[in-house]
Amino acid sequence: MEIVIHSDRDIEEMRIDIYCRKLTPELEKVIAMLKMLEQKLTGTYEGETCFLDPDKVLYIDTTDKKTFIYTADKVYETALKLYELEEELSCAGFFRGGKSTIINLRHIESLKADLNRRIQVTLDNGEKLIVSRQYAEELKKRLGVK
Amino acid sequence: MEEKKTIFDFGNQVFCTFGFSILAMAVFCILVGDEAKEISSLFALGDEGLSIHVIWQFFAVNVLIAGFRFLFFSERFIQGMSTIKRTLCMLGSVVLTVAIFVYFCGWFPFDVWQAWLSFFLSFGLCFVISLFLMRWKEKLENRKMEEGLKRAKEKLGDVNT
Repeated sequence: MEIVIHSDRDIEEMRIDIYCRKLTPELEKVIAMLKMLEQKLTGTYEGETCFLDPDKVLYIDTTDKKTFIYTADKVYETALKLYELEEELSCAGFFRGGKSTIINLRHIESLKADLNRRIQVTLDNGEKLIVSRQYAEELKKRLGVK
Repeated sequence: MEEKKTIFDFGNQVFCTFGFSILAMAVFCILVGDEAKEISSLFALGDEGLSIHVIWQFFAVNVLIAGFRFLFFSERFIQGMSTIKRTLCMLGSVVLTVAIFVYFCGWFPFDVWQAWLSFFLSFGLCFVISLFLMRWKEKLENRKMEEGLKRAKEKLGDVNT
């Protein structure tokens, strides 16, 4: 792979061109990471690559080593790993709900203490998620409860 | 996903309950030990303390109760059961365990209804008090979390505007 960088003081907006034979999963990951720099998520839905606003995301989870982004009406697959997304999205109001979930604080309708010091999260679309005991403590700290 | 419970979590649960029950029994020994030594094997030594047999019996009960707790209150073993059903199963298991120990270890006369009535009254009272405290603590925690959530959302909104 060849990387060419043109540096010019007159360029007003940074531009990245990618030349390739076809879009590979590795390339999708590179694109997703680049989009993360401007706080955009990249996900594929029915073979189409879409750019998503993190505010519209309800939660993200991992199943069978694949990462899925859940919005109110669609589920997108992303090439990024959960920990990569967590790092970038923590400032945007996302937090870890378990080993395989990160949740958007903005879309939480209510929080309820559950068995074994877990927390039951109800999202604004009515979906219920569980924050495990390990991450419940961190969430409480973030909410200023502890 | 539920975090994995270890043998240390189990041990912690057993010794916590065991410690409290032995402490409570030690108090009862001082208060009613001499009067109760004729009718209950628990107070065989009167107000001098608990015998080693009773201590082991209590330990066994606490191991079983901690086991039931792990069984009924973890998603690992039973999935999708409501909290009420779990609590009822837990209660039933505890009562059955105590009844077995009463029968085989002679904690109190098995065929005397007054003894059973006293047992159920004290057990029921402890259960209602702990349930009330648990619900009160839960409500307080939920309210604090809701307030924290509201603050966090406002803060996120401020950052983005």
